[in-house]
Amino acid sequence: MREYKLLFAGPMGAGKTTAISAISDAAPVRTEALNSDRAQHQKETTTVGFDYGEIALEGGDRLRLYGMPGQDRFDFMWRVASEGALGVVLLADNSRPDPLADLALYLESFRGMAERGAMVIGIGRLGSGHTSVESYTAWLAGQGLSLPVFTVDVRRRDDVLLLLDALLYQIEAARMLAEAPHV
Amino acid sequence: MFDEAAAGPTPAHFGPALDKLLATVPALTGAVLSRSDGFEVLSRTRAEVPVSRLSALSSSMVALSQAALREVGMHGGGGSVLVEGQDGKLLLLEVPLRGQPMVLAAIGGADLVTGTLLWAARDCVRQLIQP
Ligand SMILES: Nc1nc2c(ncn2[C@@H]2O[C@H](COP(=O)(O)OP(=O)(O)OP(=O)(O)O)[C@@H](O)[C@H]2O)c(=O)[nH]1
Ligand SMILES: [Mg+2]
Repeated sequence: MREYKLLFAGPMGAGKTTAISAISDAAPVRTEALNSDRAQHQKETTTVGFDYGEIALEGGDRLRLYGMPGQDRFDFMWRVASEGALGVVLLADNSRPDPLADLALYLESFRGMAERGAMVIGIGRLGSGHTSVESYTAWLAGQGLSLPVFTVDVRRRDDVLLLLDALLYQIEAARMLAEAPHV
Repeated sequence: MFDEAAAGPTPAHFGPALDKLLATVPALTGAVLSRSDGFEVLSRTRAEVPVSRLSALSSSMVALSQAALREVGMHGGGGSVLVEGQDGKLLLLEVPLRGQPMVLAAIGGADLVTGTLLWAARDCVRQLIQP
């Protein structure tokens, strides 16, 4: 049996908590607190610890999903949770004024996983902004990264599962590449 | 950044409550009051304390502890977390203020008796809730 520890990261309100509750087998562990920074985001609550959900796969494998707090004063949690993590789903909120600038901090913080290909990007609210999918890809390429980019609605289970499928594929591909005999 | 004006002024009795806590327990290094989402509200310290980082950590630790309690079927309203190391201890108490829950963090040296710390910090929480 294999266990995959995977993270969901990205800015406040991108939908990390929503994504995990959309796909977890059982009700996830939640650490929501009243959001007192309504200038930053209008939503009622924000994650201050982490979300935790699980998905059992066929064959006995299991996904352990950790949703990070988006606000950067919780960056210690990002470091703690990265320990032993195999990959990360980075969620973007395209309705924000500059969604790429928002992502920069998270890309930097999870750079190790990004560089070994263990990262996928999910763009939410694509239609509510003016940044195209191609802009994301080009922006990543500009940083020397080639990563799968999808548009998602984190409230839809199938969308989130697609992100995880892609991430697992990325992780497997990177592993096989690393294990392949050198010629 | 956090907007102080939007969140409203800090109630006048918060300062005296923290002052009294430090006066009552000389072995306390400091006390930090934060919103439950990790923003610093007020602090009183006798030594260098990284207040804003401690605020964020306090809210995380309390929320995670509450989540752990819920997982084992217990409800943790008004709960606390005690962390002890060889150099001292850190006590986190929920401050169930209506409308804006908060967390009180009290930092003390190794010689500080846990019972004293708990008693004084709980007393401080009572004053914060009911001036
Ligand atoms: N209308 C609309 N709402 C969306 C869409 N995608 C996400 N949301 C909503 O946006 C909110 C996202 O909130 P959370 O899941 O708490 O966000 P988070 O990333 O966990 O935020 P933090 O924990 O505060 O960092 C939820 O209320 C979702 O229902 C979308 O495409 N359209
Ligand atoms: Mg969240």
